[in-house]
Amino acid sequence: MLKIFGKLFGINSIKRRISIAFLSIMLLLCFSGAISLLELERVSHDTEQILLASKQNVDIAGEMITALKEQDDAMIHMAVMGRTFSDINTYGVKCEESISRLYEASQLAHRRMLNTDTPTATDSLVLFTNRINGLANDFLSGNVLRSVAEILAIDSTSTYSSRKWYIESYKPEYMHLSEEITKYMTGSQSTLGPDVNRLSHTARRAVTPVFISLVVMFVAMLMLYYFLHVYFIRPVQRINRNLGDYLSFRIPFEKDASCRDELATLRERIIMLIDKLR
Amino acid sequence: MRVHVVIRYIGSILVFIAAFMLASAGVSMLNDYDSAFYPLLLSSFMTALLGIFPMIFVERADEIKSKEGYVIVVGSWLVACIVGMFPYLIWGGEFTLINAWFESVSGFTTTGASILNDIEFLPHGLLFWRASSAWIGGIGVVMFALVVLPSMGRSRQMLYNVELSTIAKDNFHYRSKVIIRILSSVYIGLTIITTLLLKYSGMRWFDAVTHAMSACSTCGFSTKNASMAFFDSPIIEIIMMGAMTLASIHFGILYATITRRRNNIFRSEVVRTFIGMLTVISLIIAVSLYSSGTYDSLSESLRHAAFQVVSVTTTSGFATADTNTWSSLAIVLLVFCSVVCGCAGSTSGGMKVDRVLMAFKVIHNRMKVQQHPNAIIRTKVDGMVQDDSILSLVMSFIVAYIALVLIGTILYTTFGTDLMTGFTASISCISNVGPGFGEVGSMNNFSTLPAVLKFGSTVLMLVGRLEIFGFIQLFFISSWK
Repeated sequence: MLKIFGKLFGINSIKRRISIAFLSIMLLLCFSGAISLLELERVSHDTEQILLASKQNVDIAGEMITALKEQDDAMIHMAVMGRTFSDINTYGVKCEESISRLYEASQLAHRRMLNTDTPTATDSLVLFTNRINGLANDFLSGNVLRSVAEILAIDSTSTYSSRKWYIESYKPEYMHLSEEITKYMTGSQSTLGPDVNRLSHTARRAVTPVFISLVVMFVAMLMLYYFLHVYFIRPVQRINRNLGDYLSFRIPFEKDASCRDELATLRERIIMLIDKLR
Repeated sequence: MRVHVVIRYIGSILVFIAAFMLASAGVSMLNDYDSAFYPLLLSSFMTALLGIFPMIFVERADEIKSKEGYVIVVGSWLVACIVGMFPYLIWGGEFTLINAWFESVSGFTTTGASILNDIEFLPHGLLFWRASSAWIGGIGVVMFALVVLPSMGRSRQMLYNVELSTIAKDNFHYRSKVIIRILSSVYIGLTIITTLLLKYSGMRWFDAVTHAMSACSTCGFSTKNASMAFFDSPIIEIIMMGAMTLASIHFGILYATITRRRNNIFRSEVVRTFIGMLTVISLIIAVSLYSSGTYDSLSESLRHAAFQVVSVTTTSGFATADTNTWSSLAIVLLVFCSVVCGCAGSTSGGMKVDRVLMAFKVIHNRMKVQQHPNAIIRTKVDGMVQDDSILSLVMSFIVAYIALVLIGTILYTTFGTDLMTGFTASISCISNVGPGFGEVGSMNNFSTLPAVLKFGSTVLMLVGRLEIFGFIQLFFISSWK
């Protein structure tokens, strides 16, 4: 294998060996960086999607809250304050509008959830919307006022009134729906949950290649240090020491030192030079 | 010990593993560059870098010492498991650090246990890498490298001696170079034939290749959440059973059978014992399942019983049924199968039929000696007299195996698992079977276990795969002379 590498890349010299080692580390850095960039781009895309989904959630919840507030306002005027017929008509139109807006907004929220992992998450929102709309429709069709009149006709001492109907029947439903809208906007049943999960998954994938590459590079650097020490630094030190010993004390130059590459040539040339000097 | 020489040989094995990662990236590419492409490509590059580095600097040693050989073999397994988790870690999903390590060790040691709750969610490239790691581990990381890398030279003999089990060598009557060729040709041939048979019995190419790799390595990794139960095909089950059984028979004997030599399947006492054990236990379990009303018909009972017995005994661990719901007798027999397992010289793990057979013969001979104190009785297996040193090694192995099962059970129960789960998970990990019973049953996995138990399981898998002493000796390497 090494022979093939040797032939292909000519890695028989110190310079080429070290060049290839550094080039490999550089390539690894570039490659892991490129992959991290790709993943980061995906993180950015996912973040945009999440922000968009979040904005849509807030818009739907805002629309529902406004419609609910208007409906409640109309109900207070009609059922609690007991406005005249013409007033009732004005507030009646407002109420009908709010019924339709609430219905459409709840259906839109429900449709958006169908494509997620939790398609049943808006069931409560739709249920409470339908219930409050049913109560409002009941009032507008005169059923509430008729039943109040019927009760009073049977029992003149009764304190039942449209105001009481508002407090006992309408207000609790209003509270339930407000709570559901708040949950939809902030809670886990919004479309944000799965998106956030996906984002954390992608974010981890963007960081992991760099982290593993760092570990691999650390190991590679340790190996490089070790090999440089064993094959280059130690032989140079030995040649230097031997040469010093020869020059100072005429101790014969060590002939069987394990050197490779240019260092082996250098050692041989020193030996030749010493032989010539003799 | 020459550290640089050890690093160089481990490096060459890493280059070999990197090639398989690159092949998996190729599979990913064929599947419209699925999400595993970049993780596999980067992992391949990093593994190759770690491998090429020492190859650039260190020249091939003419000879390696036995101490170096041991460190190379054990080190290669460990390093293979470490780099094997790179693709999982980079891909993410369910793979945390401990989960990636577990899946990698489980693959290379051919245990086949998993921490994945949704296997089908994995991209094709990663599934292929999962099967590849099992396939490399099946024949042995080092043995595989010896086949592929011609530059091993004279060191081949030493590495082969260390990697191949002592009792497995008996059935090879060739030189090490030839043995390595036999092992590889039988292994590769069996995988190709299984792939073709699975394809023509209705599997898709991808499923056929991955299941064939997994069956021939006796790993048990499937690409489906429901394992083999997904296919619900008797023909596929028969093919898989055939592949698993053949992969659990000594490759030398398989080669001898193909080339019509004397020491073939039909003459081998060990193989006869193995096949006999599979048949008898399958029949007993089938009758037990039918009589307990688990299945409506005897044929259905036999179908599931036979598949599970073959799957567990060969240490594959594929599943067609939830064995947790089976009768106590069936469970006890399957646990027995998990202990005994296949034959030496094959891809299966566990205690091995050869050792159990020798142990029974030693006990039998001991009883004979008590009756006839002056008699000299030799223990013979397949007509060959077994050396006392081999018999002593076999008995030591069995004692060490039992001790490790007990230690494993204590570890599992300490961290809150029930006795059934702890005991069977220990056996399953040491024998490299995969599924146990209880929480780690055939239709469950190891995902619910705490991290410390997942790590403990991987240690047991490695110890089992390196035949216990191979792993333990590494810790006493400094005292070697």
